[in-house]
Amino acid sequence: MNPLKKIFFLIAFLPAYLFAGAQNDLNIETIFQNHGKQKGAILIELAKDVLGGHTQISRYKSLILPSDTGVIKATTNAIRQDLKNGKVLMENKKDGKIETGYYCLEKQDSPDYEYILFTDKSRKITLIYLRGKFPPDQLESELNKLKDLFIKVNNKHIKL
Amino acid sequence: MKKVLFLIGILSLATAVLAQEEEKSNILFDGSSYNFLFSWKKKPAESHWTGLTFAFSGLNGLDKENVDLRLNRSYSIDLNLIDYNVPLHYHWLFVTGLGFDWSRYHFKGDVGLQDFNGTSRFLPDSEGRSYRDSKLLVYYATIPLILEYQKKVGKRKTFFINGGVEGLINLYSKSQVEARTSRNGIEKIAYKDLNILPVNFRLVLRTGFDDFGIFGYYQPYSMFQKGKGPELSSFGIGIALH
Repeated sequence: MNPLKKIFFLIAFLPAYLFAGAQNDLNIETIFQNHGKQKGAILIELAKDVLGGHTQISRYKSLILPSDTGVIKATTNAIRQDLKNGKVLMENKKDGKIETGYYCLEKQDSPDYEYILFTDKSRKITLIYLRGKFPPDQLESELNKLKDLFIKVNNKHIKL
Repeated sequence: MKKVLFLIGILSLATAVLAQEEEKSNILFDGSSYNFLFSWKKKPAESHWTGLTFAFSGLNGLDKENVDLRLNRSYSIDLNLIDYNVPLHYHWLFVTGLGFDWSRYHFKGDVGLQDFNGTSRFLPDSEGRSYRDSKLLVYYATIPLILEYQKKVGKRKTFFINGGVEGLINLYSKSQVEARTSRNGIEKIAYKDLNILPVNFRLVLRTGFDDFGIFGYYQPYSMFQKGKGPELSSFGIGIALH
């Protein structure tokens, strides 16, 4: 094949490889897809149309579910698989089970950091995926900015 | 074959671009998608205490001394330099800081405030001279403990109202008279050690929009030590620039 054509195809396929969605490759995406539409679930996806200009978080996805042993096990397994060479930022355990966990995934060839947050408290599971151009030491600061975001859905106020 | 490969390449590129653009916000409750409204609210970060104020001042209790105040020449100027704010809620703020108050009171008549046997009193001139001017100057450092409420009005303006207590630390005070001498001259005589309380407080209230407000204060207790001076407490109303 003509070398120019080879270069063209490489350039054409490269964005697809880079932007196919770092999140789409994650095991936790299965949890979002399998349980995001079930009864009792609240799935919130926020992108730059809401987040832009107020926080460095470019993508926020959270799932709140009633606590269920099967879902908890699947979620913690998915997190473990996605974590690979990533970093455990904080993990609180109770009776051997993870009650709260903050994780930073291994950085890919992208300026973005990816985080997974998990809590299993008060009979509810919360799974959060975050993406943004901020390092782990700024995670708490960026999460605090979300406290200023007020969402009104169906006459109910949601605070993140 | 070349055309097919070319189309695949273009399609891949387009998919990548669209994948980025397709990220939109969405909320699902029990599997159903809902429209939603959102707003970003920030806790107030700046107070409306620092700045400059000018107030016309009065003295409660002066009538008991049979002395009148020259209202148009009695005023206080405040320069509030530093504030420290603690946001309490999305509209509320606690404020403290440091400022300075320069108060002056001009009196009518031929009496001046001076020390007499350890007590400050309004007394005429010892030589019976008339006075061109008689005034009391009191300078304080001020430390506020104030609550402020702020609310956006329209797109750009912010309404505020704040009030509370300002601690007063007396830095300097003196009474000064300008006595007319027999040779048509003027002699300035100053009296210090007037038994003014070193620490006092006043109630303050400020309201307005953005950088401009109306300011008022009231001192519930006398500025003099008990039994060592007239029962005079200050009050004032004026404008504030922030």
